[in-house]
Amino acid sequence: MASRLLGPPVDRGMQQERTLLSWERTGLSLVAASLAVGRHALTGAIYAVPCALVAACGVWIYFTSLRQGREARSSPREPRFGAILHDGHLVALVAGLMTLLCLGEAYAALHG
Amino acid sequence: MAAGHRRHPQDPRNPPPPNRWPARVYGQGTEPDPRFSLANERTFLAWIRTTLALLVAAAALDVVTLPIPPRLQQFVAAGIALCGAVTAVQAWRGWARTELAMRRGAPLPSSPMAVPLVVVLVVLSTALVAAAVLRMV
Repeated sequence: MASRLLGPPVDRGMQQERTLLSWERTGLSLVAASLAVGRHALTGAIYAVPCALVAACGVWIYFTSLRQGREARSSPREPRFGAILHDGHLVALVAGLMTLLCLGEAYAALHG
Repeated sequence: MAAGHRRHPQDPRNPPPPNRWPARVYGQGTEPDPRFSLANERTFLAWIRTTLALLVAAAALDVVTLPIPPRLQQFVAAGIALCGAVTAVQAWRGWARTELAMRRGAPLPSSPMAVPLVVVLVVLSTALVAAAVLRMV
């Protein structure tokens, strides 16, 4: 009854918007980091694959966050699970790619 | 089995959607308040951005020419990059452990890697600065 009087439940703490903005920042940072480390891709194709994956992941995250933000603004409601997460796949992908990139940079620093 | 590792049954009134991974997180407890999951998501992203900062710092150190022995510079750059790798693993572990704790209504876990990371980074930074100062003296 109360919810009918108040309209659809909205996220009063802007939690979803804050999380989407955080994803946008991270997406852009992923692209920037892949460019910073991408210089190694010029010397070895082994670096090109993770760099390209991180850049593609960053672009996908950025545009998905933008789209989800537009949808959230057009129909405000409580998110059911996460801002763009449905489960742990994207979390594992981003963490795994970053681990790979860092290990590649460590190897390149020692042997480059 | 320790009480903290007891498996909580899934609440039949609030079944999860099928095929959510990892099952060791989503197969237990009940769905938490979405705001808490969002806060956990932002904490994960903060760790990932810390990883990115460490990665870029290592890349920068690998490129610039500093008044210190080149071998030391390489070691410090590699050490910072390895700290980034540890931070990325901590981001994943922290997210999964926190999500699981929230689902089970357990106390939130701490970040066991935070203090060792700070110590290693302080040691690496100090070595870098000390080498530069000694070279200038």
